[in-house]
Amino acid sequence: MLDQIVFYFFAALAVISALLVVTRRNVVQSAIFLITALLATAGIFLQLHAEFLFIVQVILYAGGIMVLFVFVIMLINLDVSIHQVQFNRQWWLGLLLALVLGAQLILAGRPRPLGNCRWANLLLQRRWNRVRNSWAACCSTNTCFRLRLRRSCCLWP
Amino acid sequence: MIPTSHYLFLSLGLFTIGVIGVVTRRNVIIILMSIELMLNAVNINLVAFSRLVGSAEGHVFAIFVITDAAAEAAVGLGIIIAFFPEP
Repeated sequence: MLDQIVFYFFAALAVISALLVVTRRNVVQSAIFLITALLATAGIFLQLHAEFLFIVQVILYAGGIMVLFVFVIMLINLDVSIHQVQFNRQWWLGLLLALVLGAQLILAGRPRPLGNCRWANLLLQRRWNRVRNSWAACCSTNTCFRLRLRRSCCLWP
Repeated sequence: MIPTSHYLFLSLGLFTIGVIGVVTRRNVIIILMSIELMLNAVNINLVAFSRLVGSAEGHVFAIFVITDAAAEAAVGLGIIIAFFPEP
């Protein structure tokens, strides 16, 4: 019971703070919420009985990498970057990618039923797999880069 | 005892949020942060499967992934500082 409470608390904390990392406008707030997400992940490691990884996560991620991030945020010009545009106009592409990725991962984890005709099922499966993989590869790399090149958006903050 | 699928769904959610961040944000630092989120999701997956199988190999891979994330953050932030236009 306590195990489940700990897991769901840390899972909710991780997901909510990850959403806040992606959606906040201010970079410093994103960094703070990223620290929260990393510490929640460390709690999930502790709940999984991986104590060494818990310590490594706290020391290396929350203590090392995040200090690096905050230093870089401090070094580059913060006042300029707040007043600039923070989001692409590609939220629909992001949503589509997320849906495709989620559906793929859920479908890949599901055991597939084998009917009467085993070979036909295998063939169908193989063809479906090929279609799925090629479409995902096309969707994830090609379209994204083509759109970015076409709009030639500046990637700097 | 929490089933492994719950860990997998948590990891799926974190990874998808990271992908959305990489695609939709324009700030390079937040793109790097989203990559860190995705690497964390992979770590949760590895440790959950390691507990399911009952061996410590997943932990070793997770340590490799953490090392990789540290190196990637150092190099990426160095590149950002080197190429940031001076005001």
